[in-house]
Amino acid sequence: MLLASALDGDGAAWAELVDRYQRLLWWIARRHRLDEAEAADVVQTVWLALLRHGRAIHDPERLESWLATTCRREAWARLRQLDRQVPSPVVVDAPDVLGPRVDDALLDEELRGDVLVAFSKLDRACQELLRLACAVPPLSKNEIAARMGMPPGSYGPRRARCLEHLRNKLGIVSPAAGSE
Amino acid sequence: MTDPDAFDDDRLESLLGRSLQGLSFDDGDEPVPDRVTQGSLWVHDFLFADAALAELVSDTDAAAPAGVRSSGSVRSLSYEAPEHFVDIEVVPGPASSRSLVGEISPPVIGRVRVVVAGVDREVDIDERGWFHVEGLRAGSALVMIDGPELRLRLDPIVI
Repeated sequence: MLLASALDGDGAAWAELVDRYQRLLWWIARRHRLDEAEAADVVQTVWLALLRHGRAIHDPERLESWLATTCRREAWARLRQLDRQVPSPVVVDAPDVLGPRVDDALLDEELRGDVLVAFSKLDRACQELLRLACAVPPLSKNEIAARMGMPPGSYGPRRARCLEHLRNKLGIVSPAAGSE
Repeated sequence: MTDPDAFDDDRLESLLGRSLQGLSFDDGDEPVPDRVTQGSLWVHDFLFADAALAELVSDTDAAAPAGVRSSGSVRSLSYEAPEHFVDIEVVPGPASSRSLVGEISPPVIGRVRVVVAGVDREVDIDERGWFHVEGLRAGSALVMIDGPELRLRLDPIVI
C-alpha cells in the first residue's frame, strides 16, 4: 500500500519508505568498503531503481529484500568500476547449505540478501559475535571469547542465542522447535 | 524459508558467512548523513515534478567505441525538450570530481539544480542561457532546470 502510493506520486508515502529503509541501505553500501560519496550514489541509485521498477514487486513483504539485493548489486557494480575486489554474487566452493532442492544461484543471492537484512537488525553484540564466528580464516572459540570479553564457556550458548535471534528475524522456526 | 532443518546452527552460520563475505565493519554503526537522505527524498520529487522532460538525444560517450572512451576527456550531452535544447559538457576534474558546463536555448531565467552522490548544487542561469556547476562527484546525476516560465527535468545520466 505504501509502495503503491509512493509509486503513484505520494510524497509522504515516499518519505515514509525512505525513513524505514534508508538506514539499511546505508549500512549495506558502507559495508562494501565504499566511501561516503560512493555509498551516497549507490543509495540514490537504489531509490531511483525502486521508482522505475517498483511495480514489479507484487508482494510488499519482499520490498525490504528487493532493496537489499538491489543495493548489494549496485555496490558490486561500483566496486567493479573502481577496480576493487568484489565479493562473488554466486556460490563458489561453499558447503551445501540448503540441500539439493535449492541450488539456484539467483535464489541464493536473494537468500543472502535476506540474511544480510536480518543480520543488520541484530543488536551490536550479536553482530560482533557472529561476525567473529564467520571470520576467515576461522578464529578459535577462545579467541572469539577473548575478543568479546567473555568467559570461553559462554561462547557456545551466546552463539546459539544469537543464531536463534537471526532465525527469528528471518521468520524461521528453529530446528529444535520444528522437531517437537 | 520454512524448512527448519535447512537452518540449523551450523548451516545458518555458513550461510551468514557467505552473506558477510567481503564486507567491512570498520566504521561501526554510523548514522546516515542528512544530505544523503535529502537526496533520496529528492529522487521522488524529481521524477514526479510537474516539469517537461528533456530527453537525451546525443552522448559522445555512447557514440565512442568502448576502447576509445576516456574518463579524462570532456563528454558532451544534448537534450531536447518540446521548446528548448540543453547542451552540457561534463568536465572531469581531480579526484573523480566533475563540473557541468551547460547552455539552454533559447535562454531562460532560472536556476539549475543538480543532485548527485548526496551532493546538492544549485546555480543561476545567466542571460545567455549558460550555467556552470562545480564540485560534483561521479554518479547518477538528477538535473532540474527551474524558472518562472519553464520547468525542465533532464533524463537522469551517470556522469
